[in-house]
Amino acid sequence: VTGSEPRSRAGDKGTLEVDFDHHSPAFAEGAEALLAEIRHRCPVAWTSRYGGYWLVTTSAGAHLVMRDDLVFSSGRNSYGGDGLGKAIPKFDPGILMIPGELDGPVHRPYMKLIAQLLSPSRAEALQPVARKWATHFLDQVIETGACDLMYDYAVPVPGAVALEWLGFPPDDWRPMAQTLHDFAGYAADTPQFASALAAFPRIFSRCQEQVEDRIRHPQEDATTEIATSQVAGIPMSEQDAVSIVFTLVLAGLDTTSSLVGSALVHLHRHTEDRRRLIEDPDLLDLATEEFLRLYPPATNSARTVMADTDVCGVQLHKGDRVLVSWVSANHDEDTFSDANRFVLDRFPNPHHSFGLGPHRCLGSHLARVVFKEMLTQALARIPDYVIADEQVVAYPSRAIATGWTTAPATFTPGSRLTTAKT
Amino acid sequence: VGEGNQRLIRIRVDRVACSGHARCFAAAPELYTVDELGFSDIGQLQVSAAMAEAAHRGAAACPERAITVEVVVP
Repeated sequence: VTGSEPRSRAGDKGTLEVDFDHHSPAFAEGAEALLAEIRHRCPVAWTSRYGGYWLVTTSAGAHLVMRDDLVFSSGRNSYGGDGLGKAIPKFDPGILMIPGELDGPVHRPYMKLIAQLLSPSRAEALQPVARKWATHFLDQVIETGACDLMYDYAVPVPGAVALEWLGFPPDDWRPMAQTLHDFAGYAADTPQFASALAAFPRIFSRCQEQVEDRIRHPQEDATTEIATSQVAGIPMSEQDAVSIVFTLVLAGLDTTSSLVGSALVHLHRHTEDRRRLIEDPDLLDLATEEFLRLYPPATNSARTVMADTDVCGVQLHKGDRVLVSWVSANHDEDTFSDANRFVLDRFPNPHHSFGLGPHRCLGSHLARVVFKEMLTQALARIPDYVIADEQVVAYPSRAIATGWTTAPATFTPGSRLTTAKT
Repeated sequence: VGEGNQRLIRIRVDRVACSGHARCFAAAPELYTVDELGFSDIGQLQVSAAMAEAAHRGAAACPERAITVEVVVP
């Protein structure tokens, strides 16, 4: 035991140190097993990577950290470097992300504004839009008997739904959705990643242009609602509106795509689950929660400790960095019986895949609507799809997000439901 | 049986912990309601013991553990 600073800060908790790196290839390949070992031995563990951070692996610990954002901040501070506090290590996202990087009373009015735009009833009202685009993108491939379930279906459909809702023109949809998918799906040394990185500023500038345009020319879309809204009685600034729209684009596209891809790959590998879902579509509501529990698109979320506090018996100090593992909390045996097993009709299933507390995912209701519509159509129209196992590629890192980069599939060709060829 | 049916179930939603997941409403819409943002709007509610199953179903679905269900002793 060396007298390193983290250990002395943790008092007699030197035994809490583990060899852990959520950016490592080992984590990408076997996060569940690595996390289970740490969760059973040391629910709140310390790792010295990236300047040092606490790893919280239990459901109880996740609740404690996520519930109080004045003690466990999502905001900007100098602890652990500059940049986005929700990531370890921090990185510079270019702008202050709203509402994600706000805390406490400042955060809540923005949260309520977006919660209203994406409420359960508003999400339900977008179901016909999800149906239209799921049908459209299946129509493009259904006669050929082959497609890439990611690039031809899982990626473009959530993009079309979210970007049409925000009022972006159709020319923006595929480039934006594909850039976000390539950004997550390819390693930093690949040409695909380089292209995605180069295209990234374009996404932000399109958000800027979209807000500027809707301020001058209001339309019937969510960008107009955001740009012309009031927050705590004060008219929304153009800068804040751009940040919100940018946040919605970043958070709302590849997450749902990831979940659809994970579910389709699961149902390829577990044909008995596919058969049950096809025979009894009413199971889809419960199955959706189980797909979310075992395949959370967002794997981890970080916070900064702003006041000395205790998490499950471990003393944390002001300035400490904390990483909550959603993957691990969703496998916590104290909350989920037989936690490693996929149980299609599991209930109760209070998983943490949309996060917890005031910063929970505000797109959860729309994500469920889009996901269920996409699964329903895929199982109805290409029920016998087979994925080429040797060509399935996983995201190279699971540090922030998880999913399948590509999933080439074949199926019995079917007929288009619409005739318009765009 | 008659005596049992007269018992009441008290449901309490911790409004600080509720974060608007609306899973209580999804799991037991016959009992739980949400406001226009998706947050629980019931606060505290006493219902017939005949609703106990629905009460527990909605509470178990809450990812925030914000809902407690208890039997009211007359």
